[in-house]
Amino acid sequence: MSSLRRILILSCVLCAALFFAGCAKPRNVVQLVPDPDGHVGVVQVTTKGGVAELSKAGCAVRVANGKSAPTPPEDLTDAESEALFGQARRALPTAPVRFVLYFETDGAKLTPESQTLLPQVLATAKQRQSKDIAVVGHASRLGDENFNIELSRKRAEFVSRMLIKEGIAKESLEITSHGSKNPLVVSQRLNEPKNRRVEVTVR
Amino acid sequence: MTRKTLYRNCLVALSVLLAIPCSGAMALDNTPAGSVKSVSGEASVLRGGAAAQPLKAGDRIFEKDVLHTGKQGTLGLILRDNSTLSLGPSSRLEVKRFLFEPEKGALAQVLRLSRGSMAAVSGEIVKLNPEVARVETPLYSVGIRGTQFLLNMEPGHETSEDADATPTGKEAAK
Repeated sequence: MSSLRRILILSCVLCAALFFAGCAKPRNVVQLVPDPDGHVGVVQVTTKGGVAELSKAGCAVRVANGKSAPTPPEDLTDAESEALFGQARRALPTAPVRFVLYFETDGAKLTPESQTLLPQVLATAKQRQSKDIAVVGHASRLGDENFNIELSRKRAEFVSRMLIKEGIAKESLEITSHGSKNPLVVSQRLNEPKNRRVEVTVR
Repeated sequence: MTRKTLYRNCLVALSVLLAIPCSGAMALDNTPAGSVKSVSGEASVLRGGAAAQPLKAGDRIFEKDVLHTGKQGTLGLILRDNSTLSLGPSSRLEVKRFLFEPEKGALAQVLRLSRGSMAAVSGEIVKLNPEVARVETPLYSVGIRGTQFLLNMEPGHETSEDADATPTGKEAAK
């Protein structure tokens, strides 16, 4: 009698274990979420068994093993998304901030409007506690390219000196010169003022 | 010495000779792939066969680096193309390939998540050429046509490709 009961209990436990094992969904998951600006893109998940495309915000696919195709896209519950990705998401840095500083023609002198932008660059660097700031110099197409590379380097160095003077650590800066080969706008004007610039990216 | 082994030895010698200037050129190219923006808990990098180094905000990250987070660790990164990414706890990520020289049209971004969790927002590389950007895992790979996505990879599926090189140069699964 008691051994019969034991077998009964054991088989119930076994059934329950099998049931939950069957329900357990694979935790190899890819989920698409909107950008900080609300835009939603597309990602493709590929295994040896097939491809699934995600194009709707919040949608996710699972991968059980490398041989079978990903599951069809499904909505992931907030609870599961939080359990899988919560800590990673909270560690995601905010997007870098970019400033464009314009220069007077033929030299390393900032336009008066751009001069007033410098305090904003500094405030952003301090607020983000940035240790990685890219300073990239550019020139318009006017003149010889060797001259333009030299000129855009002088512009980048000028901005870097201003930032260092205001307390930014030299090791945080990465200075590059692009000459006229990376224009902000494509223009018929050789001396396009929008291309005489230094771009500062505060990471 | 048979003709076959002589031939093989010559080939080995030739490949060694060819490899020396190549590795020298690679060592010179020390442009970072990005930098560490934030660390909480335990996070470290394995680089060039050396012992694991703890990571802190501001540290530069390079192609071929292998990043680890501990059981309570997270790590936030900004790459040079302004893509942002982060690792959750108990994760391993290799920066397999990173190339960002838009003036030359030289672009590549291949990351491998061996285990753990990751959040990513794509940057300039995906905008310029989405074909060259992907995240691999032992079971699946993710092609990116822009914006933000999350991925999780359960431990236990690692292949030989996911093993860390120990300081002595021997391969060992962690």
